Amino acid sequence: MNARAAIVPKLCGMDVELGNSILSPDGGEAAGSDAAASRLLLAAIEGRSGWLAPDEETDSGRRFTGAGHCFYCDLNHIELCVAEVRSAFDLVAGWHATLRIAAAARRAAQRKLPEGWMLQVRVNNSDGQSHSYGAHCNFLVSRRAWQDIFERRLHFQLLLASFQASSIVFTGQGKVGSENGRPPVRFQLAQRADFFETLCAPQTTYHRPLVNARDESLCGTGSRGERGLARLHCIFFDSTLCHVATLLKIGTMQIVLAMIEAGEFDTRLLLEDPVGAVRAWSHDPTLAARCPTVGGEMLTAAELQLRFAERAHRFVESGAAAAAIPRCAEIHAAWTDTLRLLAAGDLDALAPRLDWALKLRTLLQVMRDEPRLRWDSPELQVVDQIYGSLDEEEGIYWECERAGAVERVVDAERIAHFVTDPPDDTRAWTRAQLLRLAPPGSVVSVDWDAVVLQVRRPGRRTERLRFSLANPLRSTRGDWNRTCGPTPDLDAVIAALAPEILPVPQFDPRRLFEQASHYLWTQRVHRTRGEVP
Amino acid sequence: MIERFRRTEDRPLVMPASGDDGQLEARRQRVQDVVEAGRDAAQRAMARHGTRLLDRITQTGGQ
Repeated sequence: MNARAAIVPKLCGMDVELGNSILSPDGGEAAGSDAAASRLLLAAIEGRSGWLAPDEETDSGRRFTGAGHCFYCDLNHIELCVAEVRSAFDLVAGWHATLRIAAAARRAAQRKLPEGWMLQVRVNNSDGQSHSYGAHCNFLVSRRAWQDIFERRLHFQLLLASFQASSIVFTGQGKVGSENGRPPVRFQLAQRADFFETLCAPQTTYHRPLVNARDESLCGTGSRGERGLARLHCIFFDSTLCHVATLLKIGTMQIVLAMIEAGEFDTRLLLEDPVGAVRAWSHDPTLAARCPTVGGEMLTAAELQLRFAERAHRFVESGAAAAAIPRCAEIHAAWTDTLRLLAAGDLDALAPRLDWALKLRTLLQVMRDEPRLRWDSPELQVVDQIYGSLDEEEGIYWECERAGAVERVVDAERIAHFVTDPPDDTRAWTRAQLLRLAPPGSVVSVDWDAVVLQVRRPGRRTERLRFSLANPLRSTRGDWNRTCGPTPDLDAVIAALAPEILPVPQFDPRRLFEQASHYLWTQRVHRTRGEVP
Repeated sequence: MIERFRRTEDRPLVMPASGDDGQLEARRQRVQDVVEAGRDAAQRAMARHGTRLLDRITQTGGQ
């Protein structure tokens, strides 16, 4: 282990696109159903936006909730962004909290549709027609670790890619068939596997990379930024609903990234071709497929994962990660226990834990009940798509959860907590409190790492105030209480936090005309595309 | 440590591949729950949407 490297707390978050459609009673959907669906959903979610919120194809209508989460429309998908937390257990709760918010929005928007029309929202990553959308995870890493992975010590990049590729045995949601020109397959482990085509790159919508090189720290910029911190943006994983799958997806990445920061490395963990391995392993739900390591060994995905878990065991036992990863030993225990079941091929024991196993178990039962069905029957693709429907009366996952058939790692109370309240151990706390205190119409802009308000306090001129949240580990509830007191008003907060004072732009008729023209033009574009319901 | 995962209000969460009779019985029950709940929901979905759902949900590609 490299003693010189510090491990930063493995703060984590998620930004996830959902499938969304409006189904007409006669089945004659007009083009643009997904655009209208995403905007109807967003309109039903309460949150606060700034005047300067972007209106772009990939970022439209962004709003932050009082619980620190964020929602917006991204390429005609409603996107859920889970507030940053330190614990993988809290991220499971936060993820299910944002799903509850989206499910409530679906019900509210559905009530506005004419009789017989259906707003359908699906927690998955593919429409079965070669269109994929992501479930991204974000992890705080040191800037040094980021540079090692992408610029200086590329064996760590290969290590990360090898870990991710083999992790689909517990992170896949499962999918009927193949897409994107891949060879036919009856059922595969991962929704996204067919869409990864290169090892490392910055893009996310085409020629997708296993390891995404987007360098967007969300920790401030320029002289206002936290230079020692970076965000690893991981676009590889599937949307998972099972608690254990989600916990492992996040928690094992926390551990592996902490090991990379600590300089832990083992050549026996490197795949010769991670991109090819993803496809080979995903297309083999019997878990028997073997792929070569750089040393020439042929390993199953579960065998490679066991090697990672063994190496991680020593790391976790040493206590090196204890301060950076809450409940690290529990995550590791769940990891090794799940790998044991995977190695045994125990589908029945895996079904309550892993989405692909739960979906496959259900599909096998459906086929047993109706022998006429084959793997290429469209009925099975319907079941596949409906697995993650956010309509609780329809979604297969929710039916299994209600029946007690899904293992839980967080309770319903913790999920409900994150529907209304922000995490208290990250900057999400202060961001949420500022938005709660901000008077109507005062939010100029809000982002993960800064809130700008324009206010007029008694006896003063109008001021534009920028509250920096560049360090995601600070501005916690504890920091807030120490600095501002537990229930301050906005004046007390301004006095305590001493935000940067920005110049207030003077009225400029020409600029106003330009902004109005741009707004009207974008609205016209949206209408032309049928994106305004 | 794994006990946290094994505990729920009414029965164990983690079902070992082998174990005492109580654990195995609980595991059988859970598998039965999966089978019944999943099958019922799947049948409802097929009845509700027929076989044309895929044609109706074309999405814009995302990130």
